[in-house]
Order: sequence, then structure tokens, then C-alpha cells
Amino acid sequence: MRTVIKRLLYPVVAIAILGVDAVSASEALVALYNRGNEHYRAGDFEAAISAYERVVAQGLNNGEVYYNLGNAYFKNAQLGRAILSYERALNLMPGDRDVLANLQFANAQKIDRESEDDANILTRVLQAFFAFFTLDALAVMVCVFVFFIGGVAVCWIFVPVRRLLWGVLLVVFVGGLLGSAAMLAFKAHQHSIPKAIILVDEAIGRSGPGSDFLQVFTLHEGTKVEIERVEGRWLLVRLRSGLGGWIEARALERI
Amino acid sequence: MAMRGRKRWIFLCGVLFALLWAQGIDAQDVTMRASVDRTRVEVGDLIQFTVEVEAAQMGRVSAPQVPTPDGLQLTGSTSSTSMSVNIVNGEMTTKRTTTYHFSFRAQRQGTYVLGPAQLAHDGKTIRSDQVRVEVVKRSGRPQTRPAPSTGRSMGGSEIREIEQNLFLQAIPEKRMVYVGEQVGVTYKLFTRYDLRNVQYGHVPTFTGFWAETVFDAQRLNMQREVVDGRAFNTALLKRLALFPTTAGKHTLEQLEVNCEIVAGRRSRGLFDFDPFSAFDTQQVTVRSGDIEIEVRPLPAGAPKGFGGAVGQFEMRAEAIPDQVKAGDPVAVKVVVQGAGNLHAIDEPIRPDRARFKFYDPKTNLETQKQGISGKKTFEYVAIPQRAGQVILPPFTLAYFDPVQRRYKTVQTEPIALHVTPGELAPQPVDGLRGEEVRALGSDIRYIKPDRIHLADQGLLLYQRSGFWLLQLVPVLGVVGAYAYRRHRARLVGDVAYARRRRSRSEAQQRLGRAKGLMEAGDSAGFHGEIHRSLSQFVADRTNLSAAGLTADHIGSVLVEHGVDAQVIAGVQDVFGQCDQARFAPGQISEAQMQALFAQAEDLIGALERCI
Repeated sequence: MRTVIKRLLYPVVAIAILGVDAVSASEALVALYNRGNEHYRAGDFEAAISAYERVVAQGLNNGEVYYNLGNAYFKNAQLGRAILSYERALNLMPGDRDVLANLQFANAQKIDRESEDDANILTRVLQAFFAFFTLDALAVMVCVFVFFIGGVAVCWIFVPVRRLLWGVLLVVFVGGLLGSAAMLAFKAHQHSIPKAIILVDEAIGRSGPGSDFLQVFTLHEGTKVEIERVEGRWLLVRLRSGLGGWIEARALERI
Repeated sequence: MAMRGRKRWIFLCGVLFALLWAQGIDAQDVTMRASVDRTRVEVGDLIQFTVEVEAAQMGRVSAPQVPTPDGLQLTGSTSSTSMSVNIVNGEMTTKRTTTYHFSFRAQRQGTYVLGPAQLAHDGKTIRSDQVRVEVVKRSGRPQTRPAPSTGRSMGGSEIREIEQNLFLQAIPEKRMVYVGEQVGVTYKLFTRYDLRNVQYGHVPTFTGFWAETVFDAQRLNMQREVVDGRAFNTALLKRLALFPTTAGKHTLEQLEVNCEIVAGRRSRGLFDFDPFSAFDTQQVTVRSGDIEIEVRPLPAGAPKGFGGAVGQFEMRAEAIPDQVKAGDPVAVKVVVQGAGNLHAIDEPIRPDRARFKFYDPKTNLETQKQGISGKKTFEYVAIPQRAGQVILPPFTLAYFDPVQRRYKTVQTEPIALHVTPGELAPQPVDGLRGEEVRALGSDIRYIKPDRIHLADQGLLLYQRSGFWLLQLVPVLGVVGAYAYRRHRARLVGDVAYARRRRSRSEAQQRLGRAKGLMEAGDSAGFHGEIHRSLSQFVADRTNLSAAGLTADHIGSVLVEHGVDAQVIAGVQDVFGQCDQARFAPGQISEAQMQALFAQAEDLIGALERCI
């Protein structure tokens, strides 16, 4: 039985903690990325864009590549693509200050004004609290609570004299586990909703999937939307304000 | 009594009658005469209506009342009194003459009847005669119209003479302007007479214009000036800056000045000399001529933000201090300087307020009296919303330049401000346009550096299978811990379990000992140990006493536990060998012992699987 545990445990710990399954990029891709940086420093933003885009096209998902790509797009006056790249970088490096700052800066340049929610202080605090925990942080929290609970359970088994203490700790840790797991589940759900950035100067939202339908709203480059449905080459998108409309798929790109 | 009373009544009535009679005579003594300085005037002119009241008696005579006809306006009245005493044959008669001057301004053309002046005296009403006056349309006429005062009638030649020597000129800078463009008008008095009591009569209200007084004479400051070869004393009366507010042809109203000419200075010849004529003055009213000013509307195509400023302007801005914490105020002063209608200048267009919060400015206007130039200051309080090197973008003012006849736009220089982070949390800024990015001066953060190694961050932690497998570790740990504890508990409480759990390791120990004895050459000891290890193992596994386990018994026990017959045979064989070696000692080779050892080991292994 012990040998079974050992056989299972070691690879699991190794994979989970060391992240061995995160594939490392080939040296050629790293060189291409560094060449993109060189072009950027030289002010040749178009060349930098093409270098970074090639790195991305090879299937490497790295936040720094997307961040630099966003910068190059921004300097090349392609606001929509800059915001798209920053959003992608943020997905890969949640909480990175550079990405957050530049995304905010780029968002400030766009035409569409995101209506500020008239939230009261409580909801704002909750939102800030919620935003504070990234998905990875929540995953680590879940993991830590699971291990704590396991530890307390083992203590319960072997140290029968402190049952009250172990019981209290167990309740606390189970509560923490449930809380963090619920948040993780919620955030993961939100994360799984496909989002997109408008890339054309002006995209018309219509009441149905077709250009004959009534015009509902107009969006401009750089605005972030959630994709609710896909019907042919038309997408039902929803704004943060809850406003929904059908937009042609070529007007935007998924994050 | 009654008789006496009636007499008294009659007496009283007689006295009263006598008194009334006397009064009547007195009333007859008051006479009134009315006259007018001229019977034909133009609209806007003044008419002097004079009433002379002559009374023979000393005593109070009230002032006459003069009705004001509709179309004329009473502008004022004065009075003077003179007294004459005649003594003829020791009899003294006194006569008092009071002269009332009423000034009327003709407002509309038509024929008017002035008077009669009415006067209540001793219960009687005395009326003067009436005077007919004709008011005609204003005609293009000389700039001056001296109005001779009453008391002396003037002939036409005399008026002409005065007109040539005393006139008032209104001099406009230009006669064709744009709406809002400044036009200066100067009023100047030219005289060859000695003037006294110079006073404004009618001061025009400039309809259609915004008037700004640049200069207003408090006293006459005479200067010599030669006009058409004749020396004049000139005095600057007024200087105005007019700003037309509407387009079209505008006529400026006339300025009217009343003055007295000291007539005594004019020599009339030797025989006309009169020592008192030095005090003889002549009342004259002088008016400026009509001025027509054509006001043209501003051309089309006004730039965005044009608020009606016309003139030539410059603009500059300064900010104090240039280093500030985010959220702290900066005083921004925008100064518009130049010539033009500064009061009509609205606030310049503020820069986009995304990076700064602006409060409404405090406005201060300073004009210089030479012309209407000056400066208008707008003092803003601006609060930078974001830290960093921030550029305060330019303020913009659009105006119309009437000289070049086109619209112009001036901008202030952008001001660099260093904003250090303050306590105020920076607000997210929305609504900026892309093209303003560079002008605003703050920039995106720089790119990430070069790397030797780039990891694929494609999957989040929770998306990896390894993460969830890791969660199994504590679960398995708890299960293991629980099993271990149960095992420990059975070892203590369950003898059969404890013996069984220990059986293998004890057998192993005995086998080890047997191996040692074998190597030492102790054949008896070796066989005894092998026998014990095997019998003890079976006893532990079956929870029996090893002492009671004979070779026969062990066979039946093993059969009971369903052990393979071959294994039972092996066990009995080993027991037999051991007994033989112990009780019938002989030379047993080491190879035999090793074979036995191996057999015993195999048997223990086989038995472990069965029982």
C-alpha cells in the first residue's frame, strides 16, 4: 500500500508544485522575442509587432510577450489590438502591475466610456476584495486548506487529547476551503465566459444576426464585450452595462 | 343788546367788503406776460418759455404753473426777481418783476401751444397769454446751433457769427466697423469766445453700442489750435470707445453743451460802451453734428469656440506652482491682452479636463485709458488628477481681427507640471481621445526585458490535472493515518492479530539467526532454529501455542486452514529433517543445510499466502 502512495504522490507533487508540465519555449522563440524587443527599442514598432506575433503564432502563451506586443501596438496607434494584447497578457499574468497600468492607460484613450457602476461602498469593497484574489491565488488557497484539513484530521487521529482544538481548527479550515473553492468556482466561471475586443473603428450592434436588423448601439475600437452566442458570422455580445446586440464577427477578436 | 348786536354785524360786513375790494384792486395789479425765444425749432432742440410776473405790491406771489403739452418735455426752470422803486412827487410806487424760465425739449414734430401760465393770487387766477411753437423735422444743418438766451433777441447774422466762432465737433475714428469692433469717438469744443458755466445739456445714450468712457473732462483744458487760418481755443470734452452690438446703420445722438458767452468782450464801438456790459452774458447751446456709423456683421465661418471677441489679442498662461501633489490645487492664470472689446471676451476654451479638474475662473479686467486696450485675467484653480510628468494643454481663444478681416485663434504654450503622487487615489480617467496621448505627456509603461527563457503560461493552476491530483495527497494521508492507527490498536488489543502481524518478521529473525549458526557450523543449533522458526510461524499465524505443535498436529492444523498438500508435505519434511539432525546427530554437509534453509524460507513465504 505504501508503495502505491509513493508511486502516485511523487509525480503529483512534482507536477503541481514545480509546474513541470509548463512547456518551455524553444531557444529560437526566445531569440525571436528578444529581436522584437530590439525593434521596439529602435522605434520600429511594426517590425516588433511582427516578431512578437510570430512568437505568439508558434503557440507560446506567455504574458510578457503579449504585454510587449500590446505596447508595440499602442505605439503603432492600433488601440484595439493593444487592448486585446494587454487583456491576453493579464489573463496569463493576473495582477501584473505593468499590464494593469498600461491596460488602464490604453482604456483611457478609447472612445466608448464604460459606465461606472453606481455601486455603493459595500459592493465596491466586495468587488475590490474579489479582484484582489487571482485565480491562481485562489487555487493555492484551496490547496493549502485541503492540506491543513488533512493535517488536522491526522492530528485528530493520533493526538486524541486535544480533540476540541482539532475540531475548531477543522471547522475553520473547512470554512476557508468552502469559501475559497466557491470563489474559485465563480471566478473560473467568469473566466470561462468568452470575451472579445472591438478592433474596428466603429461596430454597429443590431437587434438580430443580420445587417437588416435595427441598430441598437455603436461601439468603438478597444471596447471589451462578452460573447453570449454565435450565429454564423454574427455574435451576440453584451456590454458591462447589460446592453446586448449582434455584431459581425470580423469587427472583434476574442481575448 | 339785540340792537347793539345787529349794528355790530353790519359793521363787520362793511369791513369785510372793504377788505375784499381792496384785495380785488391788488389782484388787478399783478400782470403776467409770456414769451418764447423762438417759435420754430427742430426736434431735439430746447425752447425757452419765459413768464414775467409783475406785481405792484410788496408781498408774496406764488410761482406760475405751466402745462406741459404732449410732445414737449420740461427739462428745468429758473427764476429771477428784480425790484424798481419810483418816487414821484413824494409818492413812492414799487414794482417787482419776477422772470421764470421754463426749458422745453421738442420731442416730436408738430405745432404746440405753450401756456397759458396760471397763477393763483389772493384767491384769483391770473392767466398769461399763449404762445404758438412749431417743431419741425431735424434737417442736415450746421454742427452748431447756438440758442440765444432770453433777455436779448438775436438776429440771424448774429447767430451765424456765433456759429463760426463756437462749435462742438464729434470726431469718429472710422465710419465703417464690424460688430464688436472698437470705434473711438472724440468730442471737442472749439471757441473764440470767453466761455463761462459750460455744462452738458443732453448727453447721448448710444443705442446699439456698448459705450466705454475713456476720457471725461472735469474742467476745460484749453489749447490753441488753428482751423482754417483762425486761431481757436479747443477743449477735449469726451473720448468714448464704442462697440457696436448690432449690425446696420447707426446714428449717434448729439452731445449738447450749454454755456454762456461773455458778451462784453466783443467791442461794439466807442459809443456803445457800458461799464455794466462786462457782466452781460449770452446763453448759448452748442450741439455736435450727426454721425452715421455703418456697422457690418461679422463674416461667416467663425471658428469653434468663437465668443464674439473682436480686436487683436495675445494670450499667455502660467501655473503656480509647477510641482504639486496629485489632488492639490494649481493656480493657473490665463491672461488675454490686446486691443478690443475685452469685456466681451468669454473664457478661453479650457483644455480637456480629463487630466485636470478645473474650477470656474475668477475674472479680472484691467483696461488702459489710452484707447481701449488692456488685459483680462482668468484665474483658474486646477487639480491634477494623476501623478507624473503632466502637460497642462493649451487654452484656446478665437477672435476676429478687423484689420486683417479674418478670424484668428491664439493658444497658450503648454505648461509642464511635475505631479507627485498624493493621498488622493487617482481616478480612472475615461473619455480621452487617442490623438491627445502624446500631447498629454504621460506614457505607457515600458516593455518587459529580454529573456533567456520563456515559460508557457498557457494554463492556470486550476486548469492543470496535476493540481487536482495534488489534492489527493492529504486525503490519502488521512486514510493512511487512520489505517495505521487501527493497526496499532489491534496490535495492542488483538493477540491473534498482533502475533500474525509479527509472525513474518519473527520468522525472518529466526531464519537470520539460523543462517548465523549455519555459518558457525553449529548443525544442531541451526536445525533447532529452523524448526522453531517454522513452527512458531505457523503457531503465530494460527494463534496456537508453538509447544503443542507436533509434526502430526501441525499437519492437521494446516489442513484445517486449507493449505496446499504439497506445502504441508514440505513442512513435515523440514520438521522430519530437523528432528533427524537433532536426535540422530551425524555429519550433515553445509550444502544440505543451505538447501534446508532455502526450503524453510520458501515454505514461510508459501504459508504466509495461505494462512
